[in-house]
Amino acid sequence: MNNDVAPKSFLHYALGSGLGHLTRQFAIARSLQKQTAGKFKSTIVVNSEFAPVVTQAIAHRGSNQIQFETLPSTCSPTEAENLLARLIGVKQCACLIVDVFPRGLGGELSNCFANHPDLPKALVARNLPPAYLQQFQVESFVQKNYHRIFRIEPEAPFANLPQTQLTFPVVFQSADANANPNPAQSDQRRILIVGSGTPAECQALRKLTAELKSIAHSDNHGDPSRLYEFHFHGPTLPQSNDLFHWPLVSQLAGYDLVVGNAGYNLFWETQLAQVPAVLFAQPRKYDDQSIRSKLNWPMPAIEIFDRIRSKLSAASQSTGPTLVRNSIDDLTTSILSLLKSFD
Amino acid sequence: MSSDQTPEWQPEKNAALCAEISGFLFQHPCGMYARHRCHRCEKPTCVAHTVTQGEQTICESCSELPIDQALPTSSKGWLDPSYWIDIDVDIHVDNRPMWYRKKSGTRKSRSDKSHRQHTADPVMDFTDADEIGFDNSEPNKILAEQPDWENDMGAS
Repeated sequence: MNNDVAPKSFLHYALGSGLGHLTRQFAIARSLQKQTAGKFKSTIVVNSEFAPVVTQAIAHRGSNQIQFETLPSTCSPTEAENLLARLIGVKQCACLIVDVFPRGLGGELSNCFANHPDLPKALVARNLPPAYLQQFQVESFVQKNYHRIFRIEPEAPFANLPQTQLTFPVVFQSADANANPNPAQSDQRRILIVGSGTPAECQALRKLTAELKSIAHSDNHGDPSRLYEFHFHGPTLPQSNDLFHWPLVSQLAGYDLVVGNAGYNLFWETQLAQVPAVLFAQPRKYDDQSIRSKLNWPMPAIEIFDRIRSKLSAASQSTGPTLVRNSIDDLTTSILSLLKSFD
Repeated sequence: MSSDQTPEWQPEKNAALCAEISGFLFQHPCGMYARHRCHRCEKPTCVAHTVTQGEQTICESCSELPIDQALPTSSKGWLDPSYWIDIDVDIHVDNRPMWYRKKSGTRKSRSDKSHRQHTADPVMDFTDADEIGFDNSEPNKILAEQPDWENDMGAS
């Protein structure tokens, strides 16, 4: 672990499985770096099973201004609490930014906050189960402990709290998001299947890619006038021929359609990139993905293929720009104003 | 639909959000930035949920009603509980529960598109937690079997 003492640092608490929490907090850290001209560093605490793969993938993109502190995915709440307490002291923490789980996944933040009442704290709020909010009186905890709350989707709670702002969506801002790194040839349709979520779900989507390729080549189901090209992108086997660009957002413009799970990041990244998507609502303990998609997994590959064709046909006829814009810079501007209020 | 869709359009800060109700399992407001206001019920609507009738822009829900009708425009607008007379729960033929509202003695099924606006009442509607108890689909079975919170550091 890195024991260097930094002058001032943002501390991003991004525990949770999958790539979503890690990606979002890295995006926020990057936006903060841009807005402060590198005046602050950022340390991102993660326990995703994919963290080692991501840190390797970003070796060429990251800087010493943004660093990861990785816990095991099976860490205990006490281990997380101890690490956080150490980092708050060692890193000269200017502000703690918590992703989605106000009390921590194991309730570990309640003790930590009691020891640091004057530390500026911001919450990036996504939807949470009402039963959980009620059982643990989360809204009361949030009102008492967080100085700023960013609701990054309309379904996020805490709308009535005075320190709340609606800033959505908040996703990675890629400088080259509008470029097309892989222009299609003639009638070719490039479809990207994104492996995300749990490792098992990634594998299932990888298998789906092979099935869709097979269906597309079949005389009974393929469209003879168009060529469908399927690509799988996932962190499961980075050492294989699978694509793995992180973050994904810079690659989306090169595809005609995306298939994947209806997690927050992929849903909003495809919306902002105006790329049609076939997304599946996966069961999650805390995230209601059905607010973003009506499709449940599993679904037969042939049915998915039909949906892909329908979506491509509909997309070719629709016009008009997206009505959504990335609000990540609004969020980080607000965090910086929060810091000023503490000076 | 609006003719003012330009690539340069950006929502104003604190712009209103479309209040048209959508969603498959859980009804919820659309959430997109609003560009219009319905001439009949006055709720803000996005481009996707706006229908042009002559020179008027109306919401998708009002467009399905007869021309002389609209959703209520009381001081509370379309979410006024006084609009809803009763709520009932029935069992569908495949034993999946479906709930619907009675309006002026007329029953509407969940498949009726005009019904979806009736589920927006925050006072009388079931909550998401109740939905888990009714829904026998596999994803919600998994959720229903996990009542313990803050016991999984690998959740998401």
